[in-house]
Parts: sequence; C-alpha cells; structure tokens
Amino acid sequence: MIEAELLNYIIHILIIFFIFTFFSLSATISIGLTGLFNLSFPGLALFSAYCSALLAIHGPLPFEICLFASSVASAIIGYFLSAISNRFKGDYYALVTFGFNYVVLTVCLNWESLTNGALGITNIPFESLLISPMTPLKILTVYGCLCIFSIWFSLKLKRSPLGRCLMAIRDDEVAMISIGRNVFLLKNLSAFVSGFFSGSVGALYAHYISYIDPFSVGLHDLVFVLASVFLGGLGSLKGAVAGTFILTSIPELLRFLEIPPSVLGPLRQMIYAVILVIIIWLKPKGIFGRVVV
Amino acid sequence: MDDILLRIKGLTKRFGGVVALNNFSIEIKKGLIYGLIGPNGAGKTTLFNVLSGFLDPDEGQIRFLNTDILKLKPFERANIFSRSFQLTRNFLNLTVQDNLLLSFRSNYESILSFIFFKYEEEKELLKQSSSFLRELDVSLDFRALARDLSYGQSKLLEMVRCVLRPHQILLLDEPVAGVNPETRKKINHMLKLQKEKGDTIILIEHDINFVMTCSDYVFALAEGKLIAQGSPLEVRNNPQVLKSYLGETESV
Amino acid sequence: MFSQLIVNSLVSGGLYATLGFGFSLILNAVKILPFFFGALGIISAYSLYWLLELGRFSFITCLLLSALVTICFTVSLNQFLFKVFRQKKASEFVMLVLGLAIGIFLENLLLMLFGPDVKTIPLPFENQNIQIFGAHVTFVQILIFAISLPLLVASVYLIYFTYLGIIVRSLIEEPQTAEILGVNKERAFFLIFLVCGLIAFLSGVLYAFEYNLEPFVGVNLTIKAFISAIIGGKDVVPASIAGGFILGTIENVSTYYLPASYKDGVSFIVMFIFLLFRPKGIFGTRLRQETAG
Repeated sequence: MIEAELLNYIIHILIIFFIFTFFSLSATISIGLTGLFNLSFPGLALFSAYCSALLAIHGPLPFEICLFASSVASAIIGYFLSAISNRFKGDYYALVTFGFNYVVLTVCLNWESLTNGALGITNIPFESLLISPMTPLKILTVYGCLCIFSIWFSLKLKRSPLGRCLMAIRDDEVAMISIGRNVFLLKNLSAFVSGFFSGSVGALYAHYISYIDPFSVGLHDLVFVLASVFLGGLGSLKGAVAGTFILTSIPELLRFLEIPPSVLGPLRQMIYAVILVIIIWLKPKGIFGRVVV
Repeated sequence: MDDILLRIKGLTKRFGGVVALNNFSIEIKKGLIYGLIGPNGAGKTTLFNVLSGFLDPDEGQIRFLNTDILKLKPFERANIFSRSFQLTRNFLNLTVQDNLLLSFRSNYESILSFIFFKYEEEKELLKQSSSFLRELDVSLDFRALARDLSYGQSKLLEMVRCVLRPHQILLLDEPVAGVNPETRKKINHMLKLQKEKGDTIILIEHDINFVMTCSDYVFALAEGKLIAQGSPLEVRNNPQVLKSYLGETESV
Repeated sequence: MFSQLIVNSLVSGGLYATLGFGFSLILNAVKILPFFFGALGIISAYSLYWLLELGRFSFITCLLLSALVTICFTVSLNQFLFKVFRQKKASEFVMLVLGLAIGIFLENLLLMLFGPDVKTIPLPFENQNIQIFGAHVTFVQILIFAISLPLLVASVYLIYFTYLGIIVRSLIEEPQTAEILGVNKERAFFLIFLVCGLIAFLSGVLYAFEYNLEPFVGVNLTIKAFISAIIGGKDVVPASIAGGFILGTIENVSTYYLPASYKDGVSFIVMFIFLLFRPKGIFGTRLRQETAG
C-alpha cells in the first residue's frame, strides 16, 4: 500500500517537473537567450490553462488539439505583447510584461460567465486521440515525451543561426541593428516561441489536475521559474532542466517536516526568492551558465 | 557625377541648445578613402549616428545613389553602411567564430527554417573568414569568447566583422584608437586591401598621421561645421584647421 | 454626484500620486525598479497593526514606531543589499531581479506572519461621515488628502528648490558626471531611501486606514505607482504626481459605467493606451534613444 502511494507520489512529482520544465524553457529562450526580461510567462500560462479547459469542455476537443491550440494562442499573444512592450527599455519592459499577468488574472476573476470566476473550472476531461484510457503513468510518459521533444527543439534553436541572432541581441542590440538584422522582429519571434512553451504549461497543467482556478497557475510560479533558470545558469538549456529538477524535488522534502500548509506556501516562495538572491550574489552564472549577465 | 555614392546636404542636428551638426554638406565618391577629423565634440560621431539611423536629423537630406536614406530604418541602412564604433562593440558572450558568422546573412534565421540547419552549411563562410584573416596576418582563436580578447584583438575582430559584411560604404569610428603599432599596421593594411577591392571608406580618427597616410581626401569639422576639405596635405595646412584642431598658429 | 466624483478622485488620486512619486524617485535617482515599493507600504501598515494588537502603546506611539520600522527597513535594504550589489557593479538586469525577489519575499513573509485574511486597523477616532457640497467624505479620506497634498508639495519643493534637490536631480540626469563633480552618491542614496521610506510609510498606512489590509495589496500598489509614473511621464519625477491624480480620476469615472471590480482592469487599459500612443507620458521629456558611441 505504502509503495503504491510512494510510486504515485513520485509519478506526480515527475509530471510536475515535466510541466515546469516548459516554463523554464520559455524563460530560457526569452530571458536567457534573447536577454528580454519578459515576465509575462505566468499570465500566458494562466490564459492557456483556461483556453485549454474551455476547449476541452465546450468543444469538446481532444487533449492534443486543446494543447496545441492554446499553446499557439499563447504564442500569438506573446508576439503582440512583445511588439507593444519593445519600445521600452529594460526595467519598464519588465514591469509592463509583469502587468500583463494582472490583466489576465483580472479577466479570469471577473469574466464569470466564461471562467466561473474565483471558483474555477472543474472536471476538465482528458480525452486523448491516441491513448485511452488515461492513467497517471501514461500521462507521465506523454508529458515526458513532449518535454524531451521540446528540449530537443530548444537545443536546435539555440545552436542555429536564429539562436545565434537571439544571443547576439542579448549581448548588444545596437551592434545587431548595425549589422542589418531586424531586431524588433527577432525579439517578437523569441517571444512567440517563449509564449508557445508558456502556453503548454497551462494546458498540460489544466488537463492533468483537471481543475483550474485563477490562482493555480500564475504569479506565484514567477519566482520559482526565475530561481530555476538562474540556478541552472541563464541561457543554458542543461541548466534550465537541472534547475527545475532541483527546485521541484528539494522543496518536497519540506513536506516531511510537518509544516502547516498555510505556512508552507509562502515559505516556499520565500525560499525561492532567497535562492534567487543568493545565486545572483555569489554565483551569477549559475551551475551551467557561461553568460555574464 | 556617376561615381558619387553619397550626397549629404544641409544636415543639421541639435541637442537642446547645442548644434552638433550645422548645415553640413559633403559628397562621397566610390572607391576612395575619406578621413574625417576635428576636435572632440565637432560632430563626427554624430554624423555617423545620423547616417546609421540612430539619430534623426533636424534638417537636411542624405541620398545614397538615388535613394533618400532618411526614409530607411536603421537596420535597413546597414545594407549600405557597415559601421564600427568608438567603443568597440562585439558580441561578448559569443565566440569569435559566432561573431564572424554574424557578418553573413543566413537562411536559417527564421522560425520555419532553423530546424533544418546543419553545421556544414557554414563551413564555406568560415573558410572565407579564415582566409581573410590570413590575408591580414591576424590570428584569432575562433573558439575564444569575444569577452576574453585583448583590446587590440577586439578592435581587429570588429574591423574584420565590418569588412566581411556586404556593404557599400565602410564607416569606421576611430579604428586605431589606443592600439599598439603592430595592430595599427594591420588595420592600415586592411584598409589598403579594401581600397584595392574598390571599397569606399569614411574614417574618423584623431591620429593625424594615420589619417594623412591612409586617406585620399579629408574633411575637417569644428563645432558641427565643415571648415575645410581637400587632399590630406591641403587640409593639414589649412589655417582654420590648424587653429581649431591642431592648436598651431603656423603651418609646418 | 459630480462632487462625489471629485472627492473620490482626490482621495484615490492623492494616494496614487504619493506612491507614484516615491516610485519614480527611486526609479530615476537610484536607477532601480522598485518592485518592492508597495510591499514597503504594506509592511508599515502591518507593523502598525501588530503594534496596536500588542495593546501596550498609544496610537500615536504605534504610528511613530511603525514609521521608524519602515524607514529603518527601507534604508537597510539600501545599505545591506543594494549597496553590495552596486559595489559589485551589478547590471541593471541583476538589480531588477533583486528588486523582484525582494518584493516577492516581503509579500510572502507578511502572508506567512499574518495570514491571508483581511485585517482592519482600529482607528482611535470615529471615522465620521460628513457632507461637503453634497458629497460624502470620511475623516480618513480628508486625512489622506490633507497629508498627501502637503507631502507632495514639500517633495516638489525639495527637488526643485533645495540643494539636496539639485544633488538628486544631478543623479537623475547625469550620474557619472555628478560623481566626478563630487556628489557623494552613497550619502545621497541614503537620504533618498530615507525619504522614500517615509513616503512608503505614509501611503501604506493611509491606504490601510481607508481600504483595509491584505498581504498582496503591495503588488497592486506598486503597479498603481508605476501606472501613475507612466501617465505623468516616467522621466520626470514630479510628473507622476499629476499621473496619480489623473489615474484616480479615471478609475472613479469608470465606476459609473462598469462594475467596481473592474477598476483595476481599467487602470491597466489606461496604461496600455498611454504606452501605445504616448509612451513619454503627459509631461515626459524624451524617450531616451539608444545612441551609439
């Protein structure tokens, strides 16, 4: 009995790890590779979670379509958000993209006819075109494969001329303009890909947990994702995966310390924040990073 | 008339109360090396910034052949101008190799195509870069990060990147500032090579000897105005130039 | 009805103006994006609440102690965190991450210590409702206006008519030149953080008097401060005062047409409109162009 419980627990943690790897990939492409401090990824994930849930319930559309459609929708929104925000320099850009998360949150809370407000959406069906019925182990496999594919995709991106362009933008935007690249377009492309991955997080999460409310995905994931990518090393894909793994698994140890949930939640956030500060203080490159920020 | 590439007419740029460029007009012919001299604050870098599109002029016209380039966005102007900067700009977290490869437009820079990229595609470009470096007698470790290069090597890298890029006019902002004589010779050699290939170059320099030995024609600026132009010797001996820039009262 | 609108606008406006001013001051003079500014305000409110709960001191004493706590805390942030990072010549990017991490840490700390329920601050006087020109005004609202307006006038006087103000302005415009000419940057920053601590204290406490206290209000306040700065003009510090009043007015006008819960959404829309059509803000001077040197 205990073994089955333990196994289910490990499967659950791994699934969460796979889901959050998408977040880290998104942040790595946007912040790590292109140097855009785009903080809109939680909001895009929340948007996509609702999008995917509604498509699954009201379509009703199968999981694969929901996932793809809401990821693409997030990517498109990410693109346009980037196009609007690009006129601002560093810190204002960050705050504008950060503000986007609040817009999404406000809409999710208030547009009750669509989103059911603070109560959230329950019983999100997980109907896959290819696999039936869905068990946690099958979900683990599917999510794992999607995750591995996305990591491969991101590696391809990073090592291609497009990736080189993005990293060059991070290093020196002015120089990039003077060698004839359309930096505006490239930044938006980066936001597009990054938005796609953020969108995947929302859809994958919504289908797995089968419940979504305005606070399940979103702002409180922000510090987790930032801590993961900085811990792993900004711009390093290896680092993104490693950082996510470390920060997903180690706090689980806290569970065994019998801390009441009302304390556990904020405590985890504080720990992530402290880890983030420690990393940028002592080892700004992170574990695998080579980029001097 | 046919070989005039660039016509700048009546260019004026103000920053608040300061007039950085004052009714500036010059013509640039193909295949020559032009020197741009003047004291600090004379407007030389401002001119480059206006040409590259980083600054918008308050008045004036700039025509490249028959195109009004003021209508072009900065990244579009880079098709005409290949520019280096006073404070060297290389991509510091990238390798020398990546820095050089960025001089060339790749087909794999879009979302749809990057998946299909293979390393072999760039071998030819790397060979081209290597042979150019050999021509100049410059050796750079392709795998070094640009951040780890010495000052002279960074300058050379930026120069090479500029020259390798397909362009019509080279804009070099203080190409030999602060470099040792060895590097200066190599840069001088590079410019001569480019001239032989028919390239057009405008360079800003404070090193008067360098400007004199390198240039075919010199423009002298002071306080945003063109105060003299002509052959290096003519400009060198121009009394106004002597007064405002060289600080001498008699010609040598 | 019209007079009620004016009253409400002046009250919200006064708060936003004060927040915007402090925010803009740190942003422009110290060149850090104060993600944590709202959190500082909330710290002052929560510390006041806690001190009052102790029941051992009079209201005035609690108020003064709370002010002391906030100001000390704000100055310590500068001395022990920002200064260290400044000495490491940390990039703007890193400072941004730092500001964000601090903000998140503080909010969750408050959440952990005080819980998520709404707290009210017991006022020592009865918050009576009086009528001025047909509009209902409470004592607290008069207080807000009575404190924020002189504070802002004094601040503008400080910046434009005193020696300290010249130092602050020189740091805003030309920090390197200022240093060369002998301005003691660290001392100036100390004083700026001192002043901002006071501003955060006042706005936080006044907010809590009027609207009650929740841990995540901090982010909301930071965003309102940011929007005020955008509307007024992010480069010009006093412009955010005007921006704050304008924001307050627009928000209150919108409650006549939309349900009140959309108030925050409206302020975002206003922000996006300004960002799209007038990114300089109303009084902003220039969109700093990246000039290549």
